[in-house]
Amino acid sequence: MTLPADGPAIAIRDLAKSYGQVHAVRGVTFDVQRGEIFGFLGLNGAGKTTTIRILLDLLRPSRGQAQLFGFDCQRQSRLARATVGYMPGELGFYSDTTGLEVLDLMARLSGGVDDSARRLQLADRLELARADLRRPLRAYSTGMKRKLGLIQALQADPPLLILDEPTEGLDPLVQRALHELLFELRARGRTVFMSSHVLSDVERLCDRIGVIRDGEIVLLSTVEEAKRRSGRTVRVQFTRPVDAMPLPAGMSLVGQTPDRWSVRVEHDIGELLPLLGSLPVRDLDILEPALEDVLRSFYRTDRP
Amino acid sequence: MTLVSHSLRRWRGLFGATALVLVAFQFFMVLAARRLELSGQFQLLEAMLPAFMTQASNMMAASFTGFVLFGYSHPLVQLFLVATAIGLGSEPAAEIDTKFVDLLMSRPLPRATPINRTLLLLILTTIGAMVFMLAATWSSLRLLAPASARQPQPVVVVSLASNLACLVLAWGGITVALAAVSRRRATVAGACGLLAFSMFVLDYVGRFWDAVTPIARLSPFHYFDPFEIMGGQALSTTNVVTLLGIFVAGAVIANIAYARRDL
Repeated sequence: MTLPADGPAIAIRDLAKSYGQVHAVRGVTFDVQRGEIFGFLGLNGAGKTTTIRILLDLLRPSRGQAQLFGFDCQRQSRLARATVGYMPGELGFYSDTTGLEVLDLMARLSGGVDDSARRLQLADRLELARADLRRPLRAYSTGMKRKLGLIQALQADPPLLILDEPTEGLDPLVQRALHELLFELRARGRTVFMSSHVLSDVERLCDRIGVIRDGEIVLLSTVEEAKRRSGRTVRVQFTRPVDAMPLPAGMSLVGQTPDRWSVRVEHDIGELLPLLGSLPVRDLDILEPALEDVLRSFYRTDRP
Repeated sequence: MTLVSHSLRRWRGLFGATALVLVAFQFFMVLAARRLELSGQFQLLEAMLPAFMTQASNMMAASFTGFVLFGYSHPLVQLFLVATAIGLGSEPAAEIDTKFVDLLMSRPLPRATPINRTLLLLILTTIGAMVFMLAATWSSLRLLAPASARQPQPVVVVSLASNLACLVLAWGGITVALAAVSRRRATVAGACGLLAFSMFVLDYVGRFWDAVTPIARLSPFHYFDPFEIMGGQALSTTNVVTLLGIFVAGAVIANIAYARRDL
């Protein structure tokens, strides 16, 4: 199919979904640009899967609009879904079908795109043996089902991949293979929208992240920006005990012993150096913030 | 059609078993009728039964023909086929229950696809079941019917099978309508099973108790009248239209409800 020449891959405007008094998603607005890997993060029940299911027209929004490549997810649902390869968080495969039957069915339902060579290549890269593809799914482990879910989402080489917890249940080697696959897709201009709880994956894979909490977007930024928000920690070891003293603006002492400081630096580290130059410094350690530390504050109910 | 063939493959075991049971039942009925005919027990029965009973049953119990045709009106056959229709018709709810619908409807398919697939399956399997039953009756009569026995008219057998098929489709339509608004197959199958059994009993009571007859018109089983057909009357257009009307109404409700719902 031909996609509109420009515009974001995903555009969500004031999206809301309520079930009576329960508000699963409240006025969510954000874009996912073409060719980026976007991490959609949040605790269980925050509204991630609800948002994803609205994009696929499995749920109807109470308010607002969502578009995939300019196609309205409700009014032009089939066109919108034709752009997507989707791996749900819970794979509802029938246990009496074989892996190949699932892949054949999904390929035919996608409009007859049946690239057997690509399918086998994906199976090889994700380490799902070809013999296993001919076995019924009742014989599959959780990890094998996840691999099959990934292959069915990737096999038609869609412009947009929506992956709900893609690395869950995969061993580290396959996770690495998946990372490489996703980087290759991005390099070819494909867009990836993934939800994940594995923050190391998100940190490694994603260009941008969105954090949803209680149905609202509370953070939308690049991974680097998000990490900068929390600031870096400078650990200083002195040759002899040093008294506490006032620090430049944007810096705070978060830990102190007579011969050791831990200083949190929110912006540039340069202003700290003249101060340290006047002190008997033995060693200096600059700790980059982990995405996990940043997100923990956004996940909490009390806002940062 | 992709989805229809997928479902047919998944259900092939059930379809095979259903066909086998129906074929075996028809053979059994013809075999039993042959034994009664050859031993002269039909004549004995006819002599023993009061006239009103033989008239009420249109000679069902007291003739080779009636006994063979009973294979199309036996309560077990009716309930077995209705149960199969309920099992098939509840598939849209099962797909939501198992989350298969997430994979299915993430593909660029019209919303109506799972419902229309199920409706098509119901039509195909009902026709298939009738073809198997008719073929079994025809071949068992060819093989087993005594030369002295008067065989049922083909038009009577086909009429009975058609009325039975309409009844099965009606229950399929009711089930699909309920499945389109439900999230659990067990809920749909349980509710429809209970309803079908209640309606069967209601119709049965209504046939013998005048006070209940008006209410019994609510039962789809009321519009399956094998004794009239066995007695030589033409297949009732009212019965066919009513039963197919239930099927069509169920199909329309299912399509509207499924198109509007959250999956």
